[in-house]
Amino acid sequence: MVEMKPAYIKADNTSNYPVLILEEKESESKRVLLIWIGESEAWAIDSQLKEESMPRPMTHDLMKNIVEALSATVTAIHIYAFKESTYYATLKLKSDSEEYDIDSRPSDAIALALRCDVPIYLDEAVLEQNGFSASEVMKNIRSAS
Amino acid sequence: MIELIFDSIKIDKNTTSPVAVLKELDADPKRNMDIWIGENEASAIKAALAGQDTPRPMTHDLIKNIMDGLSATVTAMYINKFEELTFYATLKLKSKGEEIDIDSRPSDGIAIALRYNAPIYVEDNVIKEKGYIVKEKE
Repeated sequence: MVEMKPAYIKADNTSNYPVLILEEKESESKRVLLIWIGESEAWAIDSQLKEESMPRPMTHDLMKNIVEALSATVTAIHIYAFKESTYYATLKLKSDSEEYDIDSRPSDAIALALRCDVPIYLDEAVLEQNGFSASEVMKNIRSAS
Repeated sequence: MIELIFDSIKIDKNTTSPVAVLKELDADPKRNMDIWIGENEASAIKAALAGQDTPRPMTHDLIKNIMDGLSATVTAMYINKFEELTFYATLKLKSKGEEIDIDSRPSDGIAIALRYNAPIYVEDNVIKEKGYIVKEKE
């Protein structure tokens, strides 16, 4: 298990979809993982990275408020598989000392993790299979503009 | 308090923004109320109506899965007020016999309420101010 942090979001030049760049939090190698995500999830992550605050709760703020109101906490998120071009993640919740795993897309999980200030873990096998060295990234994003 | 049902999503010609149209459940004539919402919330509402499963949980499905996982449910949604061009809503949750109010934008509230078949209510003074009557099409 490797701890990752969201570095930034770029637009993919071919598909025009947002790509989230996750990088290893603590290591010399700083391997990165690219995850293609939706527009609104990109916005939910980007606004949090930029510490923008909104007058009304946006969807992932609402998600956090619901978790807290139900006396639960998010303890971590875990990106654990890559199958048929899709990453799979789990939200780790805790309530009354019981633990719950909730199936999630990584984009929603990361948007929530940033709001709850909890670690983002990635399976070593997934990083080995799909990770890049930081210097290779730009080639692989074919970044826009 | 007046019960509304979700009627449709239309596109505002000037802003090209989606608009959720809510309609009075029991009244003659029925008043409508328009709420401007975001693109993503509009798709979340459409997906709830279509009832179709996506291969992976979309954001509002995830919210439902979290509540289901924590043994909570949504019993209703209330549109409480309209202030400075913004509607305010509350989601009514029930968990272990306790009732919990959560502040929400109406768009998220509708997307979630529809996933629970929970009723949508509006304060009388809000629909009095924002409601309008549409003549039935001939």
